[in-house]
Amino acid sequence: MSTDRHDISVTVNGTVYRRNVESRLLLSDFLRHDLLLAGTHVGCEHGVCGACTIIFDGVAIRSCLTFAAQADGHDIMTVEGLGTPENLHPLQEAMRDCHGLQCGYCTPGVLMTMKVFLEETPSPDEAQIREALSGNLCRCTGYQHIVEAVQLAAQRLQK
Amino acid sequence: MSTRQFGAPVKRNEDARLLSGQALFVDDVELPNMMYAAFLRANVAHGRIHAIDVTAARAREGVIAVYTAGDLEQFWAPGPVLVPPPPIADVVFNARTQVPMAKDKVRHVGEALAVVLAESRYIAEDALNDIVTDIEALPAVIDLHQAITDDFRDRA
Repeated sequence: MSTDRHDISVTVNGTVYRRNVESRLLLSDFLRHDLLLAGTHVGCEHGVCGACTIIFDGVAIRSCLTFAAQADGHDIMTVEGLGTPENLHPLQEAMRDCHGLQCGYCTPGVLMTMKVFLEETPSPDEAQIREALSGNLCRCTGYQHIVEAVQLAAQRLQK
Repeated sequence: MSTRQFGAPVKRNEDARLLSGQALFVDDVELPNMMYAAFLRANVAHGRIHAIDVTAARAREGVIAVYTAGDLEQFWAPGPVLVPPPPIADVVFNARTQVPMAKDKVRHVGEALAVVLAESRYIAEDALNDIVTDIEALPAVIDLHQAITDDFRDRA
């Protein structure tokens, strides 16, 4: 097997990380195991469940379908960059207020997808939210409370 | 009487951690000298295992150990019946619980044949491809009605 390696420099949540990685290393594994940012979760490992969604140069993408080497020179935000337990982002606060999570496994991916969505669509209707959420599987909530949380977050972010 | 538990939403204590990526799921745990496991799984529903050769997998750099059912020796045993079925008159319950790894026969697609322990998940999965199996596919019973006919009822 190839041991082809690359020196990469990646900005994650405002911090620049320089690492040497194998070509085949997935960005999701790089974030979780090399940078110890385990807030990004891995569910299906083939781009279906959305748990590993991160923000890559402002776009929500699947980190399990991206190689770490592809992130060289790029800017990434993960759930750890959105807010802290003491200082939650309005989207996180709304998810808490509306009970938009139970086990919390899909939640980081939902937050990353919805953050970009609300920037592009500040006043979404329910159908738009459900369409935007369609790439993030949640087995706990049945989605209703996530939709309500996104609606509440949109209202709060407008003010 | 307080309405904290009744008649009003209750904020969950764990949500702030779950929402900010600070929760600790089992897969998030990083320990010194941690190894990674990958399982080789059966691709036939029913088959006789003639050989599982793990020599090349064991020789791969970064592989710590490879085990098959035979390596488990006295630890290989079907699991216990954790929830016994209710007794029903004239019905015999044939317990068939999960085994740790297939031994002699494969009984369902996805049954574990071997486990690789390695320094990384990537190496562990590479080593799965090094394992050579000789499994003779046998006819599979995939229908409940067929399963209770005399031809198949008492077979395992």
